[in-house]
Amino acid sequence: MERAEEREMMRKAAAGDREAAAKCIRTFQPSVYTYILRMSGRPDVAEDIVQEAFVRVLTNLHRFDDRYRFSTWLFTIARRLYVNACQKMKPRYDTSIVDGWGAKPMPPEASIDDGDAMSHARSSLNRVLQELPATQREVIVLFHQLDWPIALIAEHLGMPEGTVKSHLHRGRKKLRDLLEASEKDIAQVEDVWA
Amino acid sequence: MTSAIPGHHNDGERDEPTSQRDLHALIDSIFDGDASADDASKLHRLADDDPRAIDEFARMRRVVDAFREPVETPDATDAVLRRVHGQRQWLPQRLRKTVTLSRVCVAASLVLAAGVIAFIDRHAPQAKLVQQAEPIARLAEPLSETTSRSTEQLASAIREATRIEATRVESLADAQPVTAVDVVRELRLSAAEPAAAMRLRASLKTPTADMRGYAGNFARSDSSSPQLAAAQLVNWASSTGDALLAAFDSDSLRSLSDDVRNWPRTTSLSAKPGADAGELDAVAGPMQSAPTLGSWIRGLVPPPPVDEQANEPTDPTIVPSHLLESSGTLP
Repeated sequence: MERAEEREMMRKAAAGDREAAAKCIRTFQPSVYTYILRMSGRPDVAEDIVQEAFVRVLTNLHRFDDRYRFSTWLFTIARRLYVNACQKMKPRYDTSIVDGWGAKPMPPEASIDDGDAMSHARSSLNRVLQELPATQREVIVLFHQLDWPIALIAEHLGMPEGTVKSHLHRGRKKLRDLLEASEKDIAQVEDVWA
Repeated sequence: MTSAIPGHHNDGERDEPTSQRDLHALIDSIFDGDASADDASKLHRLADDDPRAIDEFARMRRVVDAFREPVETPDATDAVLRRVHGQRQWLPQRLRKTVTLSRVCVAASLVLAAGVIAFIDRHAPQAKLVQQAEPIARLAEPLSETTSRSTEQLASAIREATRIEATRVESLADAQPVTAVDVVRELRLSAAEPAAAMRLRASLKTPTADMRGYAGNFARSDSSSPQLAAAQLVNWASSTGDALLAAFDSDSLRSLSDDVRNWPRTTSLSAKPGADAGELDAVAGPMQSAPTLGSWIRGLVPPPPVDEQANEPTDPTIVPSHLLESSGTLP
């Protein structure tokens, strides 16, 4: 979306235009949902956070400074909501019962039993992403999933571009190894059941 | 673009052979979008030498491609708008159109009104769309009319006064509320009303002998000094212009001086202190010896100093200061 078009849409939404607000949601919700889904590994969490993030931006549009991109503002709010949600859930993860589970996502809704290879691949990606450190995970998602430039990621995360690249390279290699290991495991299970 | 292959390596990569580190750096630069043409050709050379390079690249390619797969996104639009609706009322589309139309109408009305005002102001600047405050000039108009009427009454009174004998001036003065003070005041006012001044001047074109009446009228002055009365006469005579100066010949002036000498015998002036015969003689003497009223006036009034404002008309109502030193001021 062009910058001018985005500004006009935001202006109308801020003036109370419901259609403009709906267009804003439909335009940006795929990227912000994917971002939170990749970060959390949980569609329900992503859905809740996306909804909350849009409610907050739409009720505070009068505070939006149109010198900046709306997506940057939206992602900042979504990320903050996600971080807050993680902090609220953290004590549960620290219990002995769920020790080690917290860092892993809930089982994906799409089951590997459905035979859909693509769903399988997406499920694997979501699962192995959760095994990456949070910063590496976030950098990889923003760079490869959302096509953010390194400079914007550095600004979003508040770290130097060199550090962002370092996280990107390490995370990418680790993700590759994790995905390959996951595929081997799945192949072995399939062999057993075959 | 310079080569993006870094000269340093991460700690975890120190054990890798140099060619392996170069390969990973090249692959990273390509997937970072930083690779130059040299990096690409270098990767091709490495791939030719070592088939594992192609495999490394393909493995990383699969990771990156995994992110390209679309993610099904649940539509939160309605849920979000419902929640926002509770905090902020969205306008229905029909109402929004109505509001927009109303705004356009109001704006158009304002523009139209501004245009009409500008048009009227341009083509009929005298038209008054707004009740304005009365200018001072309008408030002064009734005063001018009053002045004019007063001056006409004064002229009429003077005309009537000139028809009677000087000895009857006193009774006339009692009957007519016109004193020297009034005359001076009216003449001052008439200075602001040229038409009234012209009428007064015309009324003064009376027979020379009748001018004596004016002297008697001035004898009614409230001034405490005959010298000041004479000064008032000078001022009055000056303000009435050349007609009076020309009308007063030497005979008339002598008659006037007689009247001045007779001022103490009038009831009003004799009652005033300081009006003794010596002072009156001091005034009347030069009058008798002067050939004309103008020469007598010039004898009383010293020639003005030559200055930059010499060409400007002298205020006829100003009394020479030496005449006022012992007698007070004009009203």
